[in-house]
Amino acid sequence: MKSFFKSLYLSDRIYIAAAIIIVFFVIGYYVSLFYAAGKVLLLILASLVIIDILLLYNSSVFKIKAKRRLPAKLSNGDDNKIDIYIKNNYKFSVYTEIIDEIPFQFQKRDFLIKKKLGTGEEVTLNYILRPVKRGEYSFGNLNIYVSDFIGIIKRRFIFDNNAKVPVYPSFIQMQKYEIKAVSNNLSDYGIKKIRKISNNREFEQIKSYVAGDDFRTVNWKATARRSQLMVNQYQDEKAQRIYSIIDMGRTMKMPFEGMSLLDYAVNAALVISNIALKKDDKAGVITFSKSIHSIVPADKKNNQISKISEVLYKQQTNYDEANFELLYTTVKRKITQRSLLLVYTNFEGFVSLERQLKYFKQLSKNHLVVVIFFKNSELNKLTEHKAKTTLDIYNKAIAEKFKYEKQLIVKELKKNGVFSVLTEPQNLTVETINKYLEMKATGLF
Amino acid sequence: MNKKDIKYYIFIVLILTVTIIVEIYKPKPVNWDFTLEQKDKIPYGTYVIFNTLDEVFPGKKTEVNKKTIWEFFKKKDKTLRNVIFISESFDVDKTETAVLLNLAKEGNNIFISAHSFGKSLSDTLRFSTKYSSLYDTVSFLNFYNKNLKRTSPYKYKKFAGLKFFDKTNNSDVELLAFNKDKNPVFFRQKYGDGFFYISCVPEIFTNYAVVTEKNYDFAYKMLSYLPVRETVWDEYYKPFRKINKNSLSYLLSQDSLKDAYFLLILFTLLFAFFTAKRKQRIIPVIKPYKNKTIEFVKTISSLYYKSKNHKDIARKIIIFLNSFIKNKYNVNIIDNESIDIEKLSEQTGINSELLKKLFFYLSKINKLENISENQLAEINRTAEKIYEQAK
Repeated sequence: MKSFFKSLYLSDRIYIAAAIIIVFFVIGYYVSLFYAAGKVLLLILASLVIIDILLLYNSSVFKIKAKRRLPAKLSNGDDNKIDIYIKNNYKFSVYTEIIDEIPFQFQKRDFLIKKKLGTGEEVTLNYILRPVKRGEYSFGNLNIYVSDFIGIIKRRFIFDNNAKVPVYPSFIQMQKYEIKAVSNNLSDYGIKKIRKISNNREFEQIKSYVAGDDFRTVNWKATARRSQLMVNQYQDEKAQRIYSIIDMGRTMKMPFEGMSLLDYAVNAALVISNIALKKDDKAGVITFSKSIHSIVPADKKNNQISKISEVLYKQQTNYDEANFELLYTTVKRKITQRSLLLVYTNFEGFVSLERQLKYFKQLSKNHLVVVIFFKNSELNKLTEHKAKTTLDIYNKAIAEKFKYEKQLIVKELKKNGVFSVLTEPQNLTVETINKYLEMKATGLF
Repeated sequence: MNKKDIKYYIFIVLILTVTIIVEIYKPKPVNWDFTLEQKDKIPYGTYVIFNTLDEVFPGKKTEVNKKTIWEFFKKKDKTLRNVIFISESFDVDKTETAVLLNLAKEGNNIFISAHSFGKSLSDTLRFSTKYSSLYDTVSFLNFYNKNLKRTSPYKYKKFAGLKFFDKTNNSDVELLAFNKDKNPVFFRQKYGDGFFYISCVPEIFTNYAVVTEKNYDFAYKMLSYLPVRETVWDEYYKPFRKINKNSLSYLLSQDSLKDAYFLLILFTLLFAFFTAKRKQRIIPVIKPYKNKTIEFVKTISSLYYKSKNHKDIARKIIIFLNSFIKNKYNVNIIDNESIDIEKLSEQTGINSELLKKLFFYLSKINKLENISENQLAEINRTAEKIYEQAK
């Protein structure tokens, strides 16, 4: 009985009907015919309610079957598809309203999917979730409100209580770019082909000459031995070390499209590590803010990418001021071989760069340093409109000044032999891959 | 019930209990409403006088009338009665006055005590009331009749500014009581076979006057002018009838309206129980981080704006424009004397007039100490146009 009352809901129709009957009664005060008609209507309404209840509650067995199909993990910053399977076992078609209790992080209070199901019909619906923070997400009940053709009452069915799903750094992007990187189709995503300069060639093997091979690579000694034309074959240099160094400090807290720069950087770091591993390089990760949070030494073992993914998933930060001095000493001690250091950080003004510049300069003596920082796309909101008042002109000029300073930072870094990538957060992954491929092709390390 | 919520329920119950206890035990404020109703035991009710009418009219029936007089007397036989009206403003219309006059003509006695009277009644009986010219907190009343008169007048402390009748020289009228200025406050007037007893001091009949002031016999003496007969006590022409609390009672007396009313309540309850209940779990508010870039820029720019250094801003605009053109076309426009405007215009697609304007400003701006707001706006407009055309 308790569950009956708990699962019983009334739809709007009953109140509309009641309102009409009340109006009839009030008119019935003047014209008694309406009073009688109202009484009849009330009787009809009452019997409809009883019929409706009997129809929907005729069996204690759940006549509706439903299931939420969750992936093992969600990908941060991407659209994740969630499936809902639902089957109608009633002997008539039903109208369902699905309210899924999605995790609090989405702050969505108006979730509603409406679907009509025929007799015995089963469907799989889906909806899209785009998480913007890593961490554990918890789903609540899957509520399904069922009404029949009368539509006066609704019965609630509850399924799939409490499911927990972790949100990982974007593995969807990782897989997307991985396939593209292997199949060399990256140009589809705006990734540039870099002309290969031959000085980074590493000898791979000697093979027989096939028409079309560059005859400048003919290996005469081998040809003499085998009395058949042999050529040297070269390949890209392998086993170079790529470190993604992520600043988890104050400046990385700024959100764009709901996601913080830190999470953009984490996603990009995962993608670039994966591509590096696919290209037979060694990938590693260092995260730091006030202190060093974690270090994954560069390696190319099979489980390296899952190791990196786990470490990146767990990164927690208080957004303290980043300590580049500590980063410098750590890198100096821990990374002994020349490596590509992709430093994800952010500078809003020229002054903040000046404080850290000496560390970058020192780092670039032993390593190839690429500083990756962000264009503030919010500033465009101020600069793209025409200024109407003097204050507008000031706002615009100051916004331009901040944009201009980022250009100055790029120049200053270049002057000091440090490479840099200045990108919008949304384009971070693509720009980073570009830089990596460029660095590899030019053989600077 | 959720275990977590139980403390809230306890809290609510506790507060309710405390409120109820406080409500029960707190001293009740005295109700000073001037109701003059027979069931009211408040100071200005007439509970005492009504319940002692038996002593004034021993052995006679007392009826309470809750309808208009014409409704009440429509169905009555012709027995002669006393009809007592104690009210604040006795606003009877023409029809009601006619009924009253008719009653008096037949030999009934009409006893009216009120502050003001319906115009048709006072016109017919030719009397009018006035306020005592002197507002005094103490009133003295006394009778003309030697047998009833007291040597020390009846003293009322609470009723200031009582009214009096300023009617004179009417042969039908017998004055019965007067106030301290010797103005009449109670008179009787013969009409047909009956009498009108009219006074303008209804306060005399209140519980307060009868019980507290120890002048109770004044009221009884006034009533004793009436013969011992069946008595009708009016409860209709009372000050508080107009805001009748029981308009709902009429609604409930009509079947269709009653049904509509109960249906409304029923569906309100149904709504509360079956539709307003929770459809999904509570989602706590999590505030997302805000990107405050725009606020930050606006704060900085307002600092610049306070110093009103337009020249500085103009130079900034030009520097950014220069860096834009330099990046795009590799031409430096600042401090470049040998620049060929026509060539630059061809190269960039920017109107040469516009470029000439720009260079005019460039040459001018350095010579000036500061520039005006209008000049700044002009420079900005030029820059905006150049950005537009260069795209």
